[in-house]
Amino acid sequence: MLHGGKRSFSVMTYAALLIGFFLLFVAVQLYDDASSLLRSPQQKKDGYEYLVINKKITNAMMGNNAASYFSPEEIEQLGKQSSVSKIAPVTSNQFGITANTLGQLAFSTQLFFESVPEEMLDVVPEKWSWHLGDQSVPVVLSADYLNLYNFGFALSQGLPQLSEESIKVIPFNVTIYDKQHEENFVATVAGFTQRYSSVLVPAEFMHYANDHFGTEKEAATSRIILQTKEAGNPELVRYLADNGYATQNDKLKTSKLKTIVNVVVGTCGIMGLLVLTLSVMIVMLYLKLLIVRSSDKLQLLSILGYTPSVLKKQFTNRIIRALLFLIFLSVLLTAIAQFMIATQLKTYGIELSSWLSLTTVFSALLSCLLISWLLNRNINKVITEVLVQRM
Amino acid sequence: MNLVLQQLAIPYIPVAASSVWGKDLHFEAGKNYHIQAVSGKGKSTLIHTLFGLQQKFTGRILIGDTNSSHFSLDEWCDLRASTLSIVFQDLKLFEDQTAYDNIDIKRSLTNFYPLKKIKEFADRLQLSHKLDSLVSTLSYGERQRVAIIRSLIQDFKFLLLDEPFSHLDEVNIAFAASLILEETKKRNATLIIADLETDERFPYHQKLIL
Repeated sequence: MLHGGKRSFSVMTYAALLIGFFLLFVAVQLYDDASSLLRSPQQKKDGYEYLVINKKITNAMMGNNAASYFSPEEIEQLGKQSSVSKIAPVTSNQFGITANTLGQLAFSTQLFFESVPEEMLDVVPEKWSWHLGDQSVPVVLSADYLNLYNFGFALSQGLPQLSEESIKVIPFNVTIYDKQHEENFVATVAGFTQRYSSVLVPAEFMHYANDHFGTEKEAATSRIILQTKEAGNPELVRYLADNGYATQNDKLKTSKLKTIVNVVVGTCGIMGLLVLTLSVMIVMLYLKLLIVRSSDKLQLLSILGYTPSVLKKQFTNRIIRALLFLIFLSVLLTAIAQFMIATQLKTYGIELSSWLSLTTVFSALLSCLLISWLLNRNINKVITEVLVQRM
Repeated sequence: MNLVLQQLAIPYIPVAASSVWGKDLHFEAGKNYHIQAVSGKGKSTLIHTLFGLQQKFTGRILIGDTNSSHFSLDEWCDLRASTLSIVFQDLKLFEDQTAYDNIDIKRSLTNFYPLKKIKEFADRLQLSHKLDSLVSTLSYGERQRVAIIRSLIQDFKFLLLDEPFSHLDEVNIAFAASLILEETKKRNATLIIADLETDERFPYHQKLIL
């Protein structure tokens, strides 16, 4: 009765609301998609990215090894950067190392070791420790080196390719020496790391070896590990560039991409919000119009005994149901769009979740609550105004 | 439930010559009262004031021992739904709705009577053939009967009637009065009729001159 029996809401307004919601949800979803695509597989695990920083070797620095060391102040400054959550030096060997095996796969080579704090390792093998007197030393090898061997070296030299497991059971002799004396150990590969391009040993072993065989008094740091949640942070990138520090480049490229994505997605989101705000305003104005137009009827109903809250429901129920339906519809459309995008990307070999992210669903719920609350408040106000006039 | 007036008075109406304005009155449950009021004595204003639609008065109105000035809008709504029933002089019907719907809008608020009661009352007042007509198409007499039925389709302790029979012929007045009497007796309610002239349509406990 109060709505005059005609279709009280133009299709245009519904369409505008739908578009507004759709744009908004798509923007949120795209932002999540872009973030997930730009994130490296590593970061996907615990949210952190690990950058190994070293000083760029310039022509001027050649011949002066000390120039590539980080001073304690430099390390401290780097650690203070806002996007850096942890920082640790990579300790390298100050002594000579020879490694060799006997038997079928005999080889002998000079080697290098590095060590990092255990907490910065992505793979911690069982028994990753070394004690004074231990003859055996566990080693963690970069997975890249295995690939280098298997696909770079072995094939061209007619040598057998090796699996990770098979290398783990091949021990090799390691001789540590300096000018005065030497010591022998047996090393086994205990694990492979994706994070470090290095040959890693337990910190205790490194300290022992550096102390007893080191050619210099203090262990110098030429590489540093940074733990950060935002590898592409523009500030960090600038800081590294300004100081002549280098790291794996592709990790920083994402910074530029991310900025671009943010701009695009942000624009989309703002458009969505604009459309939405305008549409909601129109809805509220229209409702106000309806209510004021029906003020005689409302007053009479109040005289008959209908309370304001009952009367309010006459208006809010229909409109809120319509809005919830629209939100649901736009979420559905966004989900379909996401599914289509993900399927298309799969054909290019790019992995993207086919489902909506939690943030999108959450923002949909938030919109529902917000709009319901807004409408309720508004309608309540108008109805009370209309009724109080009577009294 | 009691309805008590304590020196109720409104602006511009002198209280001296009135047996209602400025006086202490006690309307008892189950009794019928007639208030005779010539034009200009504030008859409709009195009805509106008792019904809570008019706040400009001095003195007190006590409905069931509570001062009516203290009621909130929600409390007035509850009162009008189940305690205070009324037929306005200007009827206040929804002209764009049918007679049936007009009555049901009231009935469905509290469901005191089932739907078939509407038909029953309409039969009593010879209105059945007009139930599905829009109120705008009805004569004033027919509208008055709709308003009367609407006032009886709810529960009440007080029934206020403001010139309810002005456009009815004697036959219809008889039917209406008989129905009203039945329904007020059923509820042991107080009947208050305000009219231009005195009458003997009901057994009056007290007749007042406004």
